[in-house]
Amino acid sequence: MSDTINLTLKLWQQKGPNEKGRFLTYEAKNISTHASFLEMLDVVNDELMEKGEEPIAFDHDCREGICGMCSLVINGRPHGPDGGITACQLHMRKFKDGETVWIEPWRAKAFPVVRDLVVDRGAFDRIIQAGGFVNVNNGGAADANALPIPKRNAEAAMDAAACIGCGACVAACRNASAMLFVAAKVSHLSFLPQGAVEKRERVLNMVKAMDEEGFGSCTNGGQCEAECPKEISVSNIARMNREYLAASLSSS
Amino acid sequence: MLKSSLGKKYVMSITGQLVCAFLVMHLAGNLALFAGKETFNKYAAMLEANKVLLYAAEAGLISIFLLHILTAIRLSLGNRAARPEKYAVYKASGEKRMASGTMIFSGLVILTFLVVHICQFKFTPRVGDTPTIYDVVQSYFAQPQWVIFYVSCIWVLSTHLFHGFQSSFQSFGLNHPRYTPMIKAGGALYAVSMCVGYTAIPIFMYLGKGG
Ligand code: HEM
Ligand code: FES
Repeated sequence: MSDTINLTLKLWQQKGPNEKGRFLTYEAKNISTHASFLEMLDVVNDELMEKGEEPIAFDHDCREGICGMCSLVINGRPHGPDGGITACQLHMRKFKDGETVWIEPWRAKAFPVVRDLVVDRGAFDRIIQAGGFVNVNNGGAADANALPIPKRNAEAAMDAAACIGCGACVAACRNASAMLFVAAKVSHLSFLPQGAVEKRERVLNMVKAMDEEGFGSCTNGGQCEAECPKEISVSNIARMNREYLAASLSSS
Repeated sequence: MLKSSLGKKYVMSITGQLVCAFLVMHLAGNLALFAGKETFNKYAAMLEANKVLLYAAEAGLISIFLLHILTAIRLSLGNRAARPEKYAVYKASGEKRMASGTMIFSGLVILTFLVVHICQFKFTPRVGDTPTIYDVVQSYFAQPQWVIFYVSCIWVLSTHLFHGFQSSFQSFGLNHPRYTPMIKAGGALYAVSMCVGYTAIPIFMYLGKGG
């Protein structure tokens, strides 16, 4: 297998949130198959700058699948064709020589494009501010094992806590719904004794915040789970649905 | 609660399940067609005998349908608005992409079907060549175009049920590693049974085997 490939890139270009965007067609030559997807974009941007053109803006930070910043819809799939990884963990060996690769931003009303492939995911921050936290009294740190937590709950909380808030669920969802993200946060905290105390208010406030941001609603199509880089299960959505129901029907 | 996105899903889920239950009863009753003219007319007469009960049932059904349809339209419009700029390429995978992504379209087909269906079997005057309800049904199902119309609409309805039945459990928060696969299998079985049961009526009546 040859170590380099040539690709035709279709890169989304958009000057600002209210500008009209369009695709820039770019012939990327001699791309190393050992490169990561973002490294490939770095190379393309270097070439663009050498030619005196504007580089394409895209989000990234850790480049190792933990921060959730990278946000590219590659050939119609958030984080690209491989399952269970982020775009920064995607390798160019997943592409064939001569392939056309479409690169788009997360598309949702609640995630306005800042520029090119960069979107504003502040909506997620506001949902977290509405209830995605645990209140603790300050003072000396509590003894680590003072609160017994059943192994099963710890595991389930950990699975939900794997969410890195990248927004691929919204990007993948046919309805641009944020249910998987919110459900992961709700589940994560309500499984633990520290978080269970505020369970009721949390789910009510977070769902309210979610609705106010203009996300769509869930049709149980399962695209979110299939595209989540952390493979968070839609069973979390069911948990949120029943917590919300219980919280709505009970008085505080 | 009902103003929230989740609340609307509870409404979809409950009304959907109620209509699902109605479909079973309606099918069970209509299978009387296979028992022949006399039995079916007796069944129909029994339904129409108690006016109070009949009107109450009709009012109940209409309100359930209206709630389901109006909430569906509001949800679908909201979902559309949530992604103003579409993807050039969209290939996100999911479970049952076809059925789950076309709920509003299958729903609108069902709605059209319902209007036609009710006009035909409820409001066709029972006089002349078609003095009883059985004759009305038979006269429609003797015409191939109506047989095709019924069979196609029921097929579309089945795709709606295929996704909807199991989806309504998830909407209500019922998800369990052991039971969810059973619910999904049950939903598929339910959709297929309804499809077979309801399409059998026009097909067999057309073939002249309806008694
Ligand atoms: C025989 C008639 C019908 C039955 C048995 C039925 C049943 C169901 C069920 C069980 C669901 C799942 C609810 C959930 O996901 O929680 C559903 C969803 C849905 N139904 Fe129906 N339905 C019927 C007619 C209609 C009609 C006439 C429409 C017209 C517009 C419609 C539109 C929808 C839509 C759009 C959804 C998806 C809602 C969402 O997930 O956001 N349905 N239906
Ligand atoms: S850049 Fe941090 S997850 Fe991709």
